[in-house]
Amino acid sequence: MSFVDFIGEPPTTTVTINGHAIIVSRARFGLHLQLARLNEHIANAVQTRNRQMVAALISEYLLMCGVQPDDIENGCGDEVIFAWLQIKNLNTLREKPAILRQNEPHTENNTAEKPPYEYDGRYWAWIISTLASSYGWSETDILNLSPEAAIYYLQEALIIDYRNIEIRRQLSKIAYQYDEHSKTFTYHPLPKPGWMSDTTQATKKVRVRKSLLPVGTITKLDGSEVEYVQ
Amino acid sequence: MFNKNSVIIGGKRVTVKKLTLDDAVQIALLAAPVLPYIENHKHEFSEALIGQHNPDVLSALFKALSEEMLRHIGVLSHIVAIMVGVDPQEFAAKVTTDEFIDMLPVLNRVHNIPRLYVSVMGLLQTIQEQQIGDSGDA
Repeated sequence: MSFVDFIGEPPTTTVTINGHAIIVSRARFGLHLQLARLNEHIANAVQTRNRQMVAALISEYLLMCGVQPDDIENGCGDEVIFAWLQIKNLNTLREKPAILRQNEPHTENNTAEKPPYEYDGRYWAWIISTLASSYGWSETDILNLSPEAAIYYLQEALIIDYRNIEIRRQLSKIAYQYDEHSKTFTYHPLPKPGWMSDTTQATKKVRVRKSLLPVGTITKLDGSEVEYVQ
Repeated sequence: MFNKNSVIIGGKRVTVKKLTLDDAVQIALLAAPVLPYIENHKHEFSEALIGQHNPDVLSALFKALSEEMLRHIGVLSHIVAIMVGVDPQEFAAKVTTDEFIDMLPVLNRVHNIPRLYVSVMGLLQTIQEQQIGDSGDA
């Protein structure tokens, strides 16, 4: 996908609950963060087998995406979960920018004892504050970006910062070390952060042989159904 | 005339109820330990759900039932009881094997089993996604 696909009107998906077709738009950055947090809570509730909590959180997720309470209440259970999966799929990042391949890149050592100014969600506050200080945008502007655009703008801001530091470093003696053998000064570039030199390739999709698929109707997350016969 | 969306449990006809969100979540949580078993026998299960009377398929299903289902019968019976909308303990005490097999196509007609399957798998997958730290998932 191109960056151009991440700017402009957000894509939508149509979910059907209780016989009603509901059009849901892809979450912008602010809502994306809130929904991601809610998904963490859902995963925790599934892990602790807290049934009521899972159902309540899925309902909350759908409400935040604009689904009406009546539809959630009167819809079939699997229909409601399926709608949640469809919207969750719509809101999944289409691409994972290099900076996200590292966990919390603003912290030097994730295993180290946390400093007193650390707090829950600081990573996201750091992203918003970096974007605000780099481009002069307001919090509202930033939270209205598409999630991918926000992360790519952040990545660009950090690349510009890196290049500026690199240029300043080239003018300083610190960047040049004297080599006894060649009797010359050798330039030592500024070490790049991990995400700038990470060349990890995305995982390839594995194709499953048709003979290994179950027979009957398979419902896909885009709402389509495929009939498999042996 | 009886309701075609009904099943027989212990000789009595019971109408299958609609699944609530709570029911669907409960099915997912119950299904977690038996999913590998269901995966291993998805051909047999899916053909049984369609209600095909292929003797080979049915014999494969019964073979699978006899070999592995005994270990999971409690969980599977609990799941089917929720799908029917009856008390799981009462269901397990009264239902016969023939009634159990006969009700699968009815449940497939009343509920959308492929969608329920995808929903259960999707819900359980959230744990794996969290464990691998997929921060892009909202």
